[in-house]
Amino acid sequence: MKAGLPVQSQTQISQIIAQSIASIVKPPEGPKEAVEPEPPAADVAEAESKPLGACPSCGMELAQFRNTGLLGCPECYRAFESVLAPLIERAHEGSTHHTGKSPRMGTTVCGVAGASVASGGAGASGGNEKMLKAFRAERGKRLEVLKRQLAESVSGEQYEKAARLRDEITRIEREVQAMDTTALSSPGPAENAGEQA
Amino acid sequence: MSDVGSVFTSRQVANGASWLSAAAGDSDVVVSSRVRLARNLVGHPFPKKASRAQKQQVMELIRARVQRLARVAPGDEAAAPASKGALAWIDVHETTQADRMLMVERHVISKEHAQGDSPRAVAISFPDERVSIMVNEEDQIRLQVMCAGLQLGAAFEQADLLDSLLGGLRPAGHAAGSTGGAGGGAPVPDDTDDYLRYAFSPRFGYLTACPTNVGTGMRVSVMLHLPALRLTGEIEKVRRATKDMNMAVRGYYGEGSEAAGDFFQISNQTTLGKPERILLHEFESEILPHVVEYERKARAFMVTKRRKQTEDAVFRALGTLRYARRLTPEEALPLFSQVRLGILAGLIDDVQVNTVNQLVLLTQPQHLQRLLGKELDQDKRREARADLVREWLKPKA
Repeated sequence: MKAGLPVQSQTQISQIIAQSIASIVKPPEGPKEAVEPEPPAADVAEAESKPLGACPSCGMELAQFRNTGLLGCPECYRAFESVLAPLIERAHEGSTHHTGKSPRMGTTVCGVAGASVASGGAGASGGNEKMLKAFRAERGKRLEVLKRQLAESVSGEQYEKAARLRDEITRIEREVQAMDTTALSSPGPAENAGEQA
Repeated sequence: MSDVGSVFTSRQVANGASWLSAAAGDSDVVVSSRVRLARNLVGHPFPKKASRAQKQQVMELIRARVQRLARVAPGDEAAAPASKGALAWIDVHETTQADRMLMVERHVISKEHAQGDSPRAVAISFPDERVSIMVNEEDQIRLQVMCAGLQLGAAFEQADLLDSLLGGLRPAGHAAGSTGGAGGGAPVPDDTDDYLRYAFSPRFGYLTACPTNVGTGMRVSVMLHLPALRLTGEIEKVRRATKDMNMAVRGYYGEGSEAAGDFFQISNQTTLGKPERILLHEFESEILPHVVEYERKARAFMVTKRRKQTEDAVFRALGTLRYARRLTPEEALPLFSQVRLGILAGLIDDVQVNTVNQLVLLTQPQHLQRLLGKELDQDKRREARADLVREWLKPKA
């Protein structure tokens, strides 16, 4: 009896990041390769036009991040934002912004931060709408990407993949719809928060 | 090798782990559920980049807050819901190698956390070991809640609440001295001043050492037992499908390990862009049920359409476990898997699922040595493993 299947390691995305970073921070050597499979053109241009120094807070350099896949301190996110943003987007299915819990506001039923602060309902509602808007924008962007991939799969006759993409699109559309409904019918922050068991 | 000065008593070790209890929902397929949150503090470098002194400083800040929680925890369900015991603080770098390996085998710390001698700690909820908070792992805080069977919602609620309490929120209606339940409402800002200031950006969320954890910092995972899907050769489909949904598939022993004995861990890869509860909902309601149903159908198929082959395989496995005089872990785990399948498919009726679950834990090297109270070389461990299994699976006269 075989012991089992070799399984994929969690580090895979880290490797993608490390590789992308490598392509960004390595100075171009000799003639450029003719074909790049997935050109991180925007990132490269950005990084080359504005070379980034070390993180002012911890001294971490991008080259170190390339080697380890780990940043040095929270401030690194600010110091390397222009390089990190596209990498993070790629690692997180096209997401660019956090839409969940925040330290002083907690989580809620539909995940809109701010709605869970029982003692500050009025002040929080503006934040909710902002969060909802950001979330919808996120989903909209993701839908665009998926629909493009769907069109490509259909024209490439990859029907199994197309079917999966279509399911994912339906799922996201329902999710957005559900969020809209939740937001509209939300009885108020305090009541809302206890619902999810 | 005695209990004196050890993290665990022999009784705790012999009792197995609560997250392997087979009483919970869907535990025929879902062995355990886990929710993990990654957090760091503002103004302090991540552990890999931090000096010894900086790590010590971070550890003291976290220790103070955790111990404050621990003081209110006993008997206070609001502060530590579903976790009856207090959080015990353990300086991992000061524990013995044996204790560290025991903690790794019990899944309360990671392999990485067991290595090295720089300041690091873990806070564990005893006696259930449901909660563990690793300090100075890849991130300064790795808070996990682990439950038996499919209980992701419960695991999340507890992790979320503990995280809120550490980070400056307290349960609504939970004034000082009150014992009001946490279910009554959402947390409100804490009025004390020693809460942990988490590193957080409005754009990227909770900031983590590795950008793959940024955002919610939340990793949701389940350990699945999928023997029938492997036997029918359909496990590849599951792997491909989960991969397409951006899930990671790993083995019993976590990152980089083989899916030995048909035990698989599935977890989310994406941590940014979706609110925690949506992420959880997708995982629990839209991905898992398909896999669970798929395995159940495959089991039904094995029992009806391939009954003799299945019986032959599971009883051979049981026979080997009942009569072997030496067992390696590599041999034992797939046999446990077969026997577990045999019990759940109704073919074996004189062994409990729980017995097999706990044997998977107790036959690991450090557990064996602690149970016998002495260090054993590899050869002796093989004999001890077979002895223990024989004893536990002895046919009833």
